[in-house]
Amino acid sequence: MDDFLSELKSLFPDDRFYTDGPRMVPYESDGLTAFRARPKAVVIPENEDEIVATVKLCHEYEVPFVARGSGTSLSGGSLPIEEGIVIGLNRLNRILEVNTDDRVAIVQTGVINQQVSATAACHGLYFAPDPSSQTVCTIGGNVAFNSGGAHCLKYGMTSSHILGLKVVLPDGEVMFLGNDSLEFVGPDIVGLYVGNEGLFGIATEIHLRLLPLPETYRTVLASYSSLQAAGDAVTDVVSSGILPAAMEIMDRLAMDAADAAVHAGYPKDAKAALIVELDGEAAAVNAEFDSIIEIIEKSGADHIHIAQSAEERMLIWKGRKSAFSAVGRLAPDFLVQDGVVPRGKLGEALQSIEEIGRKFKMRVANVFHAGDGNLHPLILFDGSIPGELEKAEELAGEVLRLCLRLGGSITGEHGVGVEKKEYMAEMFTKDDLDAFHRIRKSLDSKEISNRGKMFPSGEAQSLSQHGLHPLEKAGVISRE
Amino acid sequence: MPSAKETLKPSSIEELIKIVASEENLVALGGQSIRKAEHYDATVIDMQGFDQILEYQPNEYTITIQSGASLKEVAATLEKEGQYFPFDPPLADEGATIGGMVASGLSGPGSQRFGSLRDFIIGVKLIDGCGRLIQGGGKVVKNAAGFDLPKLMVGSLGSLGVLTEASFKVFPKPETFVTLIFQYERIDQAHAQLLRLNTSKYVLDALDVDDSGGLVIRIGGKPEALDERIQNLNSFLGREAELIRDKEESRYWDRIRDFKTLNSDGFLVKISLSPSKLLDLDGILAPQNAPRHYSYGGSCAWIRWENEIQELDTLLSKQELAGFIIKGETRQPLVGHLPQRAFIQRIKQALDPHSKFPLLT
Ligand SMILES: Cc1cc2nc3c(=O)[nH]c(=O)nc-3n(C[C@H](O)[C@H](O)[C@H](O)COP(=O)(O)OP(=O)(O)OC[C@H]3O[C@@H](n4cnc5c(N)ncnc54)[C@H](O)[C@@H]3O)c2cc1C
Repeated sequence: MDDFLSELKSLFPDDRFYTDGPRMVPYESDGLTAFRARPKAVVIPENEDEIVATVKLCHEYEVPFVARGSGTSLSGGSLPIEEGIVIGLNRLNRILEVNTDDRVAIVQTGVINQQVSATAACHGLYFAPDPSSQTVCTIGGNVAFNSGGAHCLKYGMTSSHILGLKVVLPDGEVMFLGNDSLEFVGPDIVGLYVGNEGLFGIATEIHLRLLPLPETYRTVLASYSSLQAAGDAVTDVVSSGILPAAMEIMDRLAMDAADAAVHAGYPKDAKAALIVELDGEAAAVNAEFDSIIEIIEKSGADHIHIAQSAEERMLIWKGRKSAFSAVGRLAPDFLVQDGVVPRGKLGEALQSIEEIGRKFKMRVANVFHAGDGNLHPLILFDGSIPGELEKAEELAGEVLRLCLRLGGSITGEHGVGVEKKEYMAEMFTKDDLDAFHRIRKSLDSKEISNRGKMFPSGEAQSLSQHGLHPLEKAGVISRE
Repeated sequence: MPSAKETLKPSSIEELIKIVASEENLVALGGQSIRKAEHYDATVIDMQGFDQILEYQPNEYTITIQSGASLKEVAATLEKEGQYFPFDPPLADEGATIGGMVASGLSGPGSQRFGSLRDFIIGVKLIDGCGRLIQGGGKVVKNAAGFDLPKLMVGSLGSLGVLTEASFKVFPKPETFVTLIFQYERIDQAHAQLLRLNTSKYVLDALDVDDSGGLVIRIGGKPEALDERIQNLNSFLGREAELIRDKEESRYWDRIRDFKTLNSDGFLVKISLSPSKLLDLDGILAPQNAPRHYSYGGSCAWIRWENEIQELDTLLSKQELAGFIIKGETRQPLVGHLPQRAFIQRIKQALDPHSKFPLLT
């Protein structure tokens, strides 16, 4: 054991410090299971002091570290590197305070997303960001990745819901950012911190903004004979002047998979299904919903199903939210992308994706957040056939380039991580990346915090394994 | 009193880059609705030559605008398509520009509904202190690639770079608005109702309290639902609101948004607040006779301060509150409790290593 490891070992009891054995295995990979690496060590701190001591040691010895919540990152964000360590944060899982007057919850970083809403519900409040991994992913992971969900168009991403952060910077300095107010003074550094992908040290305590639970939801599912027609209906809704809480589209392949998994009862002959949901104050929502139904009736829908109860609404969403992992049943492996295009170019993008799929002779299923142009093409393949994974990745790359060509982004919510870092140089100029790099260096002179992520490097990762996330295989979570 | 050394008015990005690369002590200004050129002992870059709306696609809910464009004109363009900046940016009538709006980080009462400026900015381009054009974010409503420079620029007061353009998410504007005023005898009574409303099911487009104990609510949406919603609010609060509608209604909010109701010549200061701290702050300001207005559901206060600014700085620090001096001559636009100075300094060092732009703190 080198000096670094023996000093690190002295900070933790044996059951919270590992360097080998089966306990290491879960930490070698994350939701992007194609990548795998064994770190030097894994430590499981239980408080801020242990985190600070660990980070200071890493800084002193220049050893890279990666913070890890639940390891559900789909872009390799929590993947370790061999010369670094993993800091597992799941034990910092207490909700410290719910302040109803200010609608703020103060939580430790390892708290599970859904627990916040569950705890706040008795006060009539909830935490809006709802990634479909919300039953397992942590608030720390949400902050690092600025996670999204189905309701981003109206409610924004995670960063719109973070008021303050206690952070341990990569040199061990502890700071509080933000002021618990929705209105900042000075540069919005909380905004800068959220979405840093683990490169700005570790957030230990997070102050969350809670919202009042909507009085009512109105949800409609409409089916169409083409994706184009469903896409046009989205445009009609958008130009009507009504702001829906969510607008989602699924293609035939995704519907089949969802139906097989949860019997969502989607129309059998449809080529596309559109879900539109409104939420808010009953009097206002009911008036708007009448207009939405009128628009959908005029949009050439073959079948319109309005949820008549909370149960019917849940079933519509269950099908949608399970579509991701359900698609996994159609093939041994799949890769999911999350590029964004301007909403008006959705039709063009989907058609091109179909062509790209044909060119590569691979099946691609589509579920997406139509309201904000966030695509989730699922590329199906069989990883046991040599060359298939590489082919799937090449296909994914073409989809990302397509998104950029159409004026969009390489990622809407899953982050750059390891997976998309080479595409950063296509989305941003050298000068942009240099500015990002200078910001990073100003907070982390030795570049130890999540080294190897976000910035293009040319270093190839070794590909070794793929398939569903272990938690998905167990049916605990599903993808969006 | 300092005075501007000279004013340069570039008309192209290349020219702007040249200025930043060759000059030492610089400040970029837009419509000067907040700070006038003569307040700076620096070379002023007048950004009003960059006044174009570069892209506006109503169906995308996005707009990309050069930083020198007038807020008033942009708002009118959005209005024509039935859209708006829901965060209600102030000072349009006084010539505020998009760059000034972002740099000062000011939002208005409408933030109560969907969030403030920071929640609507999706992309920026700026010239950093090294004279390089850099961009962050993008032009689509959802985007997680790279560090969030758009948010960082909000409230940065020109200290990190010269903003050349910005992209925003915009929303459809509610068909009709109506305003309800519930007058209480004392501000603590209005405040108690504000707390109840903040956690209620009622969806409000603005929730303000003024220093006379008035609780002011704005709601917007389909006209056919408004009467029922007014009734609901009346019964929730157990009294009958005074209603303001139509032209008078929009004029009412124009005055609030532009701080016209704060009659005094003192420093105009924004204080960032949490609803639970509102009464403590009011208890300090009331004896000083400082005109004040609380907005954004109790998340911010706008006040006029007639005494020395140092006194306010001390008072706010004691309360662990921070403020931004919107108007009034000062070398130091930020006052009060700012524990994150060290973090801001690091970022400043990264983007403006030669300190070409004004210091913030
Ligand atoms: C089935 C499935 C569905 C998903 N659906 C969605 C979705 O709908 N929307 C969406 O946006 N994402 C989705 N994701 C992606 C993922 O769940 C999110 O990115 C989530 O926020 C990650 O949380 P985590 O706790 O698992 O973080 P991890 O994977 O453990 O970590 C993610 C990143 O955060 C960093 N990090 C973690 N904690 C901290 C901390 N305290 N301080 C600093 N950095 C930290 C890590 O270093 C890493 O870079 C999905 C993933 C899966 C597997």
